[in-house]
Amino acid sequence: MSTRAEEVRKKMAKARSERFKEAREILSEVWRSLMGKTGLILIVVLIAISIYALITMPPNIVSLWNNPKNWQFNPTVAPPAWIADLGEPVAPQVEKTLGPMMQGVTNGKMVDGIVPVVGFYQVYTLRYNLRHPAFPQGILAGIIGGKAALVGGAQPIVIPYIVVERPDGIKLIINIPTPMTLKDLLAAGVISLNPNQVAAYLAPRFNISLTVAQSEPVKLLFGKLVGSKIEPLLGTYKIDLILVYSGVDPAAMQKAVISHKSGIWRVKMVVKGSAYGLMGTDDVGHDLWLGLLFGFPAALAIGFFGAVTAALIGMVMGVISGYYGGWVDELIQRTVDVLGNIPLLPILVLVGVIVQEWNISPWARLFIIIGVLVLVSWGGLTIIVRSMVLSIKSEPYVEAARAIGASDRRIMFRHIVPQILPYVFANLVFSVPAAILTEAGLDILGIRSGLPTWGAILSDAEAYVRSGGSYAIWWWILPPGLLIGITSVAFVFLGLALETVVEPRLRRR
Amino acid sequence: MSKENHVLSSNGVIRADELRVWFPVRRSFIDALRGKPQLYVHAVDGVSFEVHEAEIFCLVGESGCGKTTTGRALLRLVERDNIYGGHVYFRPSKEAFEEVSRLAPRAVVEEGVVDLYKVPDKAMKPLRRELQIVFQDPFGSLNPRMKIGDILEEPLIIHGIGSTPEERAEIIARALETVKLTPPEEFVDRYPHQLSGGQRQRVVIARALLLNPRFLVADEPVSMLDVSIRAEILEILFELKEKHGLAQLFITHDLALARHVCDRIAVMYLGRIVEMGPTDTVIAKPLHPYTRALMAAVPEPDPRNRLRIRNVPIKGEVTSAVFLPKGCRFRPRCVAYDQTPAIRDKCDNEEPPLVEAEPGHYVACWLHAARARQTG
Repeated sequence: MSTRAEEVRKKMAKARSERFKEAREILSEVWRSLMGKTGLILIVVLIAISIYALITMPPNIVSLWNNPKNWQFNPTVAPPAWIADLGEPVAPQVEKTLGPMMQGVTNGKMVDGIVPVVGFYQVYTLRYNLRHPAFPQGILAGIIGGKAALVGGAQPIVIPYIVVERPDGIKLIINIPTPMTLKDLLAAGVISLNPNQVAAYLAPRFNISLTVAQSEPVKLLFGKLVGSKIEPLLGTYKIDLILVYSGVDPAAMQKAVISHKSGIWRVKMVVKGSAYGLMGTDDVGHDLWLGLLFGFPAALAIGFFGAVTAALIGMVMGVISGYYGGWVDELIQRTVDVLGNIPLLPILVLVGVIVQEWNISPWARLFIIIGVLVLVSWGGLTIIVRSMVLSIKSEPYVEAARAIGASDRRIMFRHIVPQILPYVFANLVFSVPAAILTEAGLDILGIRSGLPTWGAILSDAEAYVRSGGSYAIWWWILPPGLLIGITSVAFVFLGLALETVVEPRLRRR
Repeated sequence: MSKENHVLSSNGVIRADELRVWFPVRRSFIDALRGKPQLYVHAVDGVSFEVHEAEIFCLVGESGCGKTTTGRALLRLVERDNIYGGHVYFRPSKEAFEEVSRLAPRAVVEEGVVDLYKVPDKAMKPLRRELQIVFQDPFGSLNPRMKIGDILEEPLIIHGIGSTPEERAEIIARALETVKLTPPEEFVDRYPHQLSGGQRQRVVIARALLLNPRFLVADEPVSMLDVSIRAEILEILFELKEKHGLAQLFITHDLALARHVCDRIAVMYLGRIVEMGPTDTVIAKPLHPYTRALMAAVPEPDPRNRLRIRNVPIKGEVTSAVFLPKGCRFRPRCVAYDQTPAIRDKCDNEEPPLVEAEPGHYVACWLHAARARQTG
């Protein structure tokens, strides 16, 4: 007898360990269908990329993204760099962080032949090789290493010069050197060109009218006049940043710079290319690759959060409504009726506008919007679940469970919920794209959370085109649009495959 | 019935006392506004009987007469809102009685007896152990997604019987052997759909027995089974009566089966008991016209009679349980009503009381009311 019982116990333990067999069976059945396989593979890829993104992205990506200062070294509205491999002429992006090529104290020497210097000076040099007929977008120097301390009791004054030596031998001082205190210069962080200044400087030297020069000053810098047209001048450009320190004792200044006590000792020199990175840039200079990468975990988070909470609320409400009946049922069903008649989009726009005014983190803003979406959208599932519960509730085994003393909670969670769970799960998978698409749609309508989601990138592109930009910005429009589409399709495929597996199972009951 | 002042006789386990179970018919909102009266399905309409220890008590009647509802009402599986009168008195085991009288002292009617519908839901758990049911449909009464082992373990977990998996396995093995599902380890890891109807019904019985009940409702337990398996299931129920003294309410529409199984029998018609008494007496000498009709309808196993069209003394269809006729509710179908003009006036206007026509044999018909003495 007790060996019998031992056998029984073993079999029951084994049966218990196989409880998830059904889930595995469903999964393998989904895998067998082409649609299910496609959906699953896509979703696995999406999740893998999201994990990669979460690991590699800087943790402060959102604040990084939203501060234009972080993107000033990038060209704006630039296509991806790999179009060069397709035969498209591209001016490359060159960025180099440099120490001074040369520094010293002089008394009236002409540095580079055209900059007269008295006192302590530094020269930072970048060589830029333009091999294809395309124009770079500009030149910029950012100050990476420096310190604004008094030297000999006085604040140093710095005069920055940017000198370009073109392949045709012409040497130009392309900025109007404006003396600044070291403190102000470090606060600005960059030494940039003022296009109008460049034009004003270059127009007489190229012997063209100022208006023509002003239209395309940077082109003038990297180009030559062929007739009345400016064409790129190929070859190697030598770009020097010359910093002249004055107002302090030159020897003391030199000492301070060498010992890193005051002055500037590291500079990032950039020639903005005509193409950039893996995915190009937008009008702010955002590296779209980073934004798109961020979009993966963001889309999945939005989709899963929206779908899971809606499904959970919908299921619990449906089970309660169907199981308890009476006024609880009436209350829930009438609530669902009311919610079902609320026009979703206007409500979301209203909430979005209110939330945009609040000074909270973009994530909080996003989840409030998705939360409202969830609050309005759980009703459909509730109605279906309720009807299923009504039919399951009248099964004799539910009455049998009551007869053996099972509590309401036990009956609901042990006898009813397992029956409807596969269906709820299929429904959940279907509503993942709904949340993603709603978020993207709100972005397009201008309801922005502040996160660089795919929808936000698309919406930026739309705003750019509307404000007069050209539709040729394919790298800005297509990738986020396609990614939204692919993600949605992946879940729809999985949902369709799941449904065909789950539905007959329900009927088989 | 020797009741003195007790609601339950000394060997009585459960008693329905003028029990009424009505189900309200859903009114449309407009009808409610117009002030149309609320209608009810009178599923059980004033039923009284008692089931004793070690007794199988049969409820017989055609479908829709309220026998299943009566069974469910006795187990308190009917919502309290649907009880429109009467009581169900139950004598639980000593331990259960003590627990209930502690949890719900108002439900105690007398020493050892509780009124089931006065026990609040929360205090029902100890009583649930002792009130069990076997359903007609062995396909529906087992959760198709649970394995037999899990199904049988559930009542043990709910009632905290057997603290370890080993103990529970022991109890389950024993229960399966009681219902002759051997070897038990062959069955615990199967799903219900992998068993035959008879095996499933035995699992259902095993589940009911695990909790050691004092009262079992067997609701047409064999009517969906093959004839060859019926005997085995009935054998199990017999054994429970003989060996364990289990009180059982056996619900059936089959008089022949009732004759074979029951100690006492009650015939129901439209929510009321029309005749009640020891099985042999009722079968041998049916008093109520309805019982006679039922008796005449029992098929005979003699093939020589197969071509003879039998004359069943009944007419018409079952009346609606919503709009009951005035007077005797069997009147529209009654042959005796046509044949005996003398009592028609009574039949038309007054509901016949259940009276003791001969010792232990009760009948509710004006044919017999005159010569019978009223029951208390």
